[in-house]
Amino acid sequence: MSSSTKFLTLKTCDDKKFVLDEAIAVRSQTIKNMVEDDCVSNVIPLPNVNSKTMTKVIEYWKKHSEEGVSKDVLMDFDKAFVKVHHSILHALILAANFLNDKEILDMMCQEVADRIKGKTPEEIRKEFDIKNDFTPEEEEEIRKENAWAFE
Amino acid sequence: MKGNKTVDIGNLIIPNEIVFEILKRICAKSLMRFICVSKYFCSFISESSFIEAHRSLAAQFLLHRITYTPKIIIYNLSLEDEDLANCLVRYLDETCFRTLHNMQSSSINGIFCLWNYNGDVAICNPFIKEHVFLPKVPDIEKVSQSKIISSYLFGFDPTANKHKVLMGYMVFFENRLVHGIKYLIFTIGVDKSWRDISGGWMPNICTTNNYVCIDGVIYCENRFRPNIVVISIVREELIRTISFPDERVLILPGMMNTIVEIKGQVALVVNDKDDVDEGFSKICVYSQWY
Repeated sequence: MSSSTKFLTLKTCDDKKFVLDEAIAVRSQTIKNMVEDDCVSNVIPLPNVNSKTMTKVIEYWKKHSEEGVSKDVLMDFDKAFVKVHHSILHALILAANFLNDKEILDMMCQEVADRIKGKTPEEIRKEFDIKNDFTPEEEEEIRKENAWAFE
Repeated sequence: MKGNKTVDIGNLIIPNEIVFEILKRICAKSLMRFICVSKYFCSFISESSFIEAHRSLAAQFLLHRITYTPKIIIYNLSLEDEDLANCLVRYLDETCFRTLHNMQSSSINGIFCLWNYNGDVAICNPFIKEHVFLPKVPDIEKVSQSKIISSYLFGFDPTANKHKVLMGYMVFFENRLVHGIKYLIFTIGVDKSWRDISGGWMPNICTTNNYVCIDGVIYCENRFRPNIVVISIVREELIRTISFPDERVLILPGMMNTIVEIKGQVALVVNDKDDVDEGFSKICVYSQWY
């Protein structure tokens, strides 16, 4: 193995190109598989990821690949990293899923869980733009049914 | 509904396994609220595989700890989810449940049935910290504890999606049996009082906790005969007994082999004396029962 750095070019769905050290890019299991199967001739297309999201992902990869970064610094970085609007959080989850990066995916799922755990059903619907498809009667029924232990 | 689009953006693009990952990390109390967010949420959270993943294991584990371990040790147990475990144990150790901890308590799908011989029965869900005490059986309220022997079996009826408690009891007066065993049943969330389902001669299940509930059927040790009491708690609520196809695993009263479930089938862990001496037990699975 030569010590020279190999670079990969990633192309997002909005046609932006990212040139990245292969050692960093293989944090994505998806990319790693491609590299190992030798099917990366020049540009790796990422049809499910836009450039804005990819920038965030790469920011994370780079920080977590840096040498000599203390645990505390990384924790602070992670904390700040997840503090984004939920639409970005959403996009990051899908990107992490597509790129098959369990570390980011786990962190994002935890963040979503933390954000929604104390909320009321109404707040959840609002935040995620979910339509309540129960009739008032059905909803009442369900609330009652799950209140069996409250009787 | 005039053709309103019920398209749910979040759900359409987030794959199921990710929703699973997210909801798995949420405590049960929040989940109970989320059930009424939308039909999708409701069906997702009610899905048995999800419930299993979320709480069954934790509940079983805790029940054993509570029954067999001094409390002080439980608090220090290191579990994967320590906060959850401690919070659940503390809940089950609250004053109102203190008199209910005995070896007979059981749990199904994370719901606990705690009881004692005074006729107190509590059904509780430590994950949402809610509980309900079942009404006392009138007979038991009338007589003092020493004259009653009883057993409460906890089951789940998958067709009605309801938990049921089956109670067997006998009343003694001045050391003489007042009446043979009676069977009462209580459907959680439906019944307001116990319903008597006994009739004619009934097998004895008093004081046992050797039973399993599989697909709405309870298989329980018969206290006085070498057979198994089979009680269907789905709709008909029938009681009958079955004998053992194999004489070798005959159950002698008081020397019951443990009844367990293995992959949806009833099985016996047979503590054959000869085998135990060699350091192992046998497991017999019966697929032909019921």
